[in-house]
Amino acid sequence: MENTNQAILEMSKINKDFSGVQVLFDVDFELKKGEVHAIIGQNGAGKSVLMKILNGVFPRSSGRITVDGTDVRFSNPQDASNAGIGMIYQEFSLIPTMSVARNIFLNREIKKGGFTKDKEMLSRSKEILEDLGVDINPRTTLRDLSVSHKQLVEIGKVVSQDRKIIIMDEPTASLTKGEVEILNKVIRRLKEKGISIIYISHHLNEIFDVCDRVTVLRDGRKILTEKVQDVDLSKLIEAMIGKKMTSGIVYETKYEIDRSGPPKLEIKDLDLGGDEKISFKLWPGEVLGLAGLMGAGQDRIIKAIFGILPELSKTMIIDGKEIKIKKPEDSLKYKVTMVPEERQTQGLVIDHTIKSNINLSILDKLKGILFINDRKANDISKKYVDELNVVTDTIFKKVKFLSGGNQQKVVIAKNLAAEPDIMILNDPNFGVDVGAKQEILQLVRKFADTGKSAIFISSEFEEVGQVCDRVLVLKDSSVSGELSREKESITEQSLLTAVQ
Amino acid sequence: MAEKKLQSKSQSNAARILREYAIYFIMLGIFIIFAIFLRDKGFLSGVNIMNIFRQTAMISIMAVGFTFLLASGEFDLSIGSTVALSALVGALVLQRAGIIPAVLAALALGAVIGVINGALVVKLRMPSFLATIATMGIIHGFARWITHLQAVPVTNDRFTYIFGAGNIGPISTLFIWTIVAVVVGHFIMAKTSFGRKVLAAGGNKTAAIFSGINVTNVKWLLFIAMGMVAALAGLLYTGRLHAARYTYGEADLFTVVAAVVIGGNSIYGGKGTVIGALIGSIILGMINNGLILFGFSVDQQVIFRGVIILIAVALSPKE
Repeated sequence: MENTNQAILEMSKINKDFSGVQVLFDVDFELKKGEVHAIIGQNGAGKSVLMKILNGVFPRSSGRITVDGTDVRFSNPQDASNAGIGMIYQEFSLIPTMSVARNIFLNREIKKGGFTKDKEMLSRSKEILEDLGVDINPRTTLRDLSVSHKQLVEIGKVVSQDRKIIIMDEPTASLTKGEVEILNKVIRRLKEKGISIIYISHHLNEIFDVCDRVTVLRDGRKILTEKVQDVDLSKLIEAMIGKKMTSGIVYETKYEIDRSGPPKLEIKDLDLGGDEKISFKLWPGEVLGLAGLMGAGQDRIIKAIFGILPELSKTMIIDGKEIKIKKPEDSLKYKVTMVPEERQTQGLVIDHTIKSNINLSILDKLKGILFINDRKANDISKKYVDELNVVTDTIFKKVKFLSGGNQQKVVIAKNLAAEPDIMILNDPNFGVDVGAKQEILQLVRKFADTGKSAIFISSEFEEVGQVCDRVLVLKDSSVSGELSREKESITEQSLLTAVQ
Repeated sequence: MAEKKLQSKSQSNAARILREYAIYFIMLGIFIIFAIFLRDKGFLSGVNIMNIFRQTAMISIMAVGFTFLLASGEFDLSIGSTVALSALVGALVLQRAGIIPAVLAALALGAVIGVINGALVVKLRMPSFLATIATMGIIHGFARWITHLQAVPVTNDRFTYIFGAGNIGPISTLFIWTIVAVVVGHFIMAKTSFGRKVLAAGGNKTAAIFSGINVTNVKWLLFIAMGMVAALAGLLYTGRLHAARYTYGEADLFTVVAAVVIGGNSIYGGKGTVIGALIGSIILGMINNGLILFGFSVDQQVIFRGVIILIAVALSPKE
């Protein structure tokens, strides 16, 4: 339905800087009444900052915001709420132990003389949900609902507060295809009621199903705003990535990978619940990438291999022998180590020293007759601190005083000290400074070039292309394709397109 | 700008060291005050110092075991009850079968209690605080029931000599037990791979597991060791006091925890100093001893002890 609707929201020339570091440059954004307008961009493009400004979390550094004709300046999220702006977060703002009805009326319970009128809240909740076309029992305790239903309750909550503008941040990240359809129906219902929606997503294909216009941000700037029917996937991706002069350096494969020989690791029939089970092989000297949108399955594959999700059924074969890994301890026995996603909570004992952390996986190997061979422990720690260029004056420094990049190198050192045959890296460059990022990628390549194998996940697809020999593309918990360095360059663009 | 940062960094370093060792300074202060005011009451005499060791031995020994458990991130609130029950079991077996069976029986009981505590925590995933409160009550019940509140006298001189009442010259056997426990504990904690596993398990359980450490086994072993250490304390009480009573160990949990915390161990785990626990225990013993010499009543002593612990915890570095 095509109207020349008025704008309900206008953001003009928005700039934002944090202590001298500018993150938004003259961004313009307009939302028409009753439209669904998508904002897309890579991580770090500025979507999240822009939305936080709109939601009152940060003040803008300069520029204008106009809501329904009135200039506004928000000092806090309450101001934004009062102006009619509501947000559906990825981590829902709901209380798992309370009922649906109580959640919808959280903090604004219908009261009479100090007592809550439960019956009325129940019936009103039912009305609100039915109005959205959704059938959920308002008595249900929230944690008993599926993720999709929780989200619908969150939407019901926001809508019942008379929001004119709703921001949805990655609404389909944890939804199945069927659930996405339900969400889309609800979104269309909201449109009919005159509510305007800002839709932030990495799932580019879905945007064509439900949005009217799309805006692309890149490096803090608005690149384009178009009607959805006037663009296609490749144009969007091109706008998101831009024509980078300095593409990432490709780290060439120096090892002669022999795929006619036996694979180091073989996974057969790993069941993630997708349409097809997952099978793949990994050869010595290879860095195998796993790429997909959030929730597509790459994360669960490595958790299955490493023994964190032993309940996922699969067959695992290392060096031709079938093995069972039921917990991380087993993985180490088979010389599989992992650099986990969250280094502070999963990779390091943050209060302990560099030396202590590097030695964590080899404690039994350092044993003398009774005591740990302290000299050996020190030597190994020093060796890796030097090799990996960990910036520190002593191995006895507590790792909490190191930068993110150096902390990550300590985690990698711990892995390497255990002399693994297979090293898994789950988004190793997250929160790592630019210089250290390249060092870490080089480390991965160097490791594989000695004839070892690595499995690599990164949210920055450019990095995946820089360092991987092959990449398995994951979609909806199944493998949907494979890219190989030998056949074509693996680029950010090709991966971004493949994962949609 | 860089210079200013350096300055404030060394200032905060000094402040940090001051805070970490503040408790020791305060204790040193109290020691000096006691030494001065109680000199004529014999506070500094060799006999009194050895007395302090005698009075603190059981606490010190249990503090060694508790240090390990706490460093791994767990509590055991049942140690007091274990002391009582193993004392009674030891004394009863001693009457019928002699020293070695008695010792084995008591230690085996302690081990079994540890196996049960461990199972509740690592297999059934109960928080150790809750699990051991429950076992504390059950074990205490058994201790009351087993002899219907009657004390069990011990007349075996060899036993009482070895386990607490004996002296080699001026040195009490309790002193020797203490030193042995502390030395063994210290070396295990500081010098073995097992000790490092304990610290990792308490410092960050997930990271320890992901690094290949079997945290389940480590914790289970520590519960068993704690049970056995508490049983040893029970035997020592029995030897020292020539009898076993269901009231043994009643107030010890509090004192053991206080000693361990004063000594610099963190209640969040990840840090383990056995020597510190010994020092904490001696400090508490010394304060106890001094308060008695000063003439404070038991109630006043209890209040004073509580205040000390409050100060110690308030001053301990919080992360």
